[in-house]
Amino acid sequence: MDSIELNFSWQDLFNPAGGGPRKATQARIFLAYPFSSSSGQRLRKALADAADRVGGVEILDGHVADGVAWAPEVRKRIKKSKLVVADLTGPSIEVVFELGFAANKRVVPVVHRKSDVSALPAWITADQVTTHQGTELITTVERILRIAGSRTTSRVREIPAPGHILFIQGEAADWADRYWADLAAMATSAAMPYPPQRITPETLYSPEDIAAYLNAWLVVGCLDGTPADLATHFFVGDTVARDSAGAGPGKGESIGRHAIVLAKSSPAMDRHLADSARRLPQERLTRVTDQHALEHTLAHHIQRYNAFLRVAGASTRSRVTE
Amino acid sequence: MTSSARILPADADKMSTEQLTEAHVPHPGIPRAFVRSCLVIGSRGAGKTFVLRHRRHTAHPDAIYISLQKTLRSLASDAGVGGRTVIYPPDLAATLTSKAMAILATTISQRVAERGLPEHVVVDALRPLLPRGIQPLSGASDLPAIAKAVNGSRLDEWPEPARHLLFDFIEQVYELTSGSLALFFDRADDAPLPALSLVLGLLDQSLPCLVVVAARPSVSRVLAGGFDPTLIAGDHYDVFHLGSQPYAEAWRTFLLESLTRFLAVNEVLGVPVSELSWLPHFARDSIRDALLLAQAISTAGGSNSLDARREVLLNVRAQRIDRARTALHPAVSDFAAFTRLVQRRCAKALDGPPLPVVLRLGDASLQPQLSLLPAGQDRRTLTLLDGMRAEAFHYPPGTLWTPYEIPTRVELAPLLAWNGRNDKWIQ
Repeated sequence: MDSIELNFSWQDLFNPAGGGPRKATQARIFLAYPFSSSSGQRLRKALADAADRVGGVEILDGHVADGVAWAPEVRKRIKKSKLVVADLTGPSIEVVFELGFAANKRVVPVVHRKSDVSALPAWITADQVTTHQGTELITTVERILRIAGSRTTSRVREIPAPGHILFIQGEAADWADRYWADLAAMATSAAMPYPPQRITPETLYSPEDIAAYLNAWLVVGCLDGTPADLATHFFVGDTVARDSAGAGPGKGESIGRHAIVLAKSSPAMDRHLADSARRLPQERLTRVTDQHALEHTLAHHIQRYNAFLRVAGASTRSRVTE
Repeated sequence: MTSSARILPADADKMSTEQLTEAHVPHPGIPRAFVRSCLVIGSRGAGKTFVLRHRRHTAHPDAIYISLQKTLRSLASDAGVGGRTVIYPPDLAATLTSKAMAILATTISQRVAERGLPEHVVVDALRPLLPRGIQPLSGASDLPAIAKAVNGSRLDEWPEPARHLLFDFIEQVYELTSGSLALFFDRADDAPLPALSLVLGLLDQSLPCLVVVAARPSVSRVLAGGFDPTLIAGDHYDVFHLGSQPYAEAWRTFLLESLTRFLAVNEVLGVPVSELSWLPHFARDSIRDALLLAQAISTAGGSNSLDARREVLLNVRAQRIDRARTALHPAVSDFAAFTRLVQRRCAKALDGPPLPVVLRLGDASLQPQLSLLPAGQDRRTLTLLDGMRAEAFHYPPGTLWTPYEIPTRVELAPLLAWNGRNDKWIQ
């Protein structure tokens, strides 16, 4: 039988759109892992080798060149990645912060061994967690590359609503009760339309609850060296990634999101706050270790919120009138 | 009271023996009985499972049919590896081989025991393949318990493999059954590489029993890492490539006859085959694709007009492109764009009657054939094989499958080559 015979170069197949040399990278994968972990290093190497073999995939991580401001650089890398792989073995607060910062990215949480899953708080295991011990490494790497190649790679957290304030307090953090009382009292006195919400990370299980809490415009989290700190880091990471709440100018306006972290003392703050979070600019995160400072900070943000309500109300009225 | 409509499944492994007989149409070029060990190669839906099951019920009643995908499931699952994995750390490959030998031997043992061979005799033959931790007690004969232990055992329990043990076992069983033994292995491309190279080793003519292995052409992707120069296709065993001449009259007649049988049984489909003469070109070498397209046409609002055909084909094409796109990512940046590029380059020819579109892929610096030895596992060969697995590319008509070699001439699947406008292709 006759056939139509055509000559093609490999370049035609690999990059049919043409337009000069083939774009070197179509997908970037950011791997968040504790640098000291040998299993994490092994995963990093396996991913890099596999990416090198298939081509078109770049593996990024938190290693930066000397003299580079690493914190903003890491956030930049996460932002430009299509997929974030978070090695939660441990887990490390740095990685959990990056997990929160991954915001609307598709995230693949992994741990070294199955037994490492039990060390994770329940709210993290709401997502399927993959292991990469020994021979599982091959399948995990293949799976990650396949996900990076699939079309539906993003997940969408709702647009943060300029409504409630979230207060994250672990079960053991009795010392923070007075801070909560202050916040509740100030919100009442300012007649804020939505009362603040207090959550205990140890009782967080449902992905729907987590998604709802992620809408807060102001996050206040307590740090005391317990696993509950992970939730604070996760929520702080999210406020940094999705830095405004509301629909935007002309559509009801928006307000900048902010995080406040509380610790018993400055040394405790230094011990329990992730380095990535510590390097955040002050407009994104405030560190508070005494009641007076909290009151001062809250007063500023409540004032900011009221100003937002006035602008948003005017904007809405103006749109309704139009 | 009316009886329910009869449905003949499109998948051969879901058919009863009676249904196999009812639907059987001899494949062109495939013998009614196998006289030599052989590898049966065919695309998805070309009829590999059908051939194996049919021959087992007709010419080879002594054959043991083993789906490697099902049988080695525990291996793939506890090792975390699948048929498409080509990179194995050496220690993992060794333990996988040992465990695969035991799983296969245990499966064969269970089947011959079901035929009346005393269990304790089979267990004694099986014993050398089992690690110390799961050795049955002397005189014990609980094959299901052994199978469970073998499948459930951890990989680190397995010693370095001694491949001859599986050969010895099969020879022993062959003698115990007085020569009434043949082994049919299906879904080989879904087996982890170490197990596959083990099974392919059984094709060697030195083994007394008949061995038939069925796989898709893309099995080369797995074979690449397990090159065995002592086992030569066509010499030590035969190769049958189903549908290697998909546009020849013999295959077209076979496809339409198969379709007629299926449609006659599947009363619910109700599409006269006379209205499907356009279909074989799109189905190419896949009977299953022919059936699924016929089924889709039959459900297109009862209409078999050109517009209905076009709509069905465009829908199926969109799914195929999506499948290929996923399979070829990230090597190919935009597979849909590549199909459009092909259509642009041969726009005039595509306006004529349906013809296969063969692509000659290469650069001046490349050899005419790409070696699939481990060193040659480059992006080009793997991309081509991934494309074959996703049914985007095929061996060109008349080109026979050869292990360890991938042609740089490939045919673009007809459905992907069709421009969606030319009615001559769907009349």
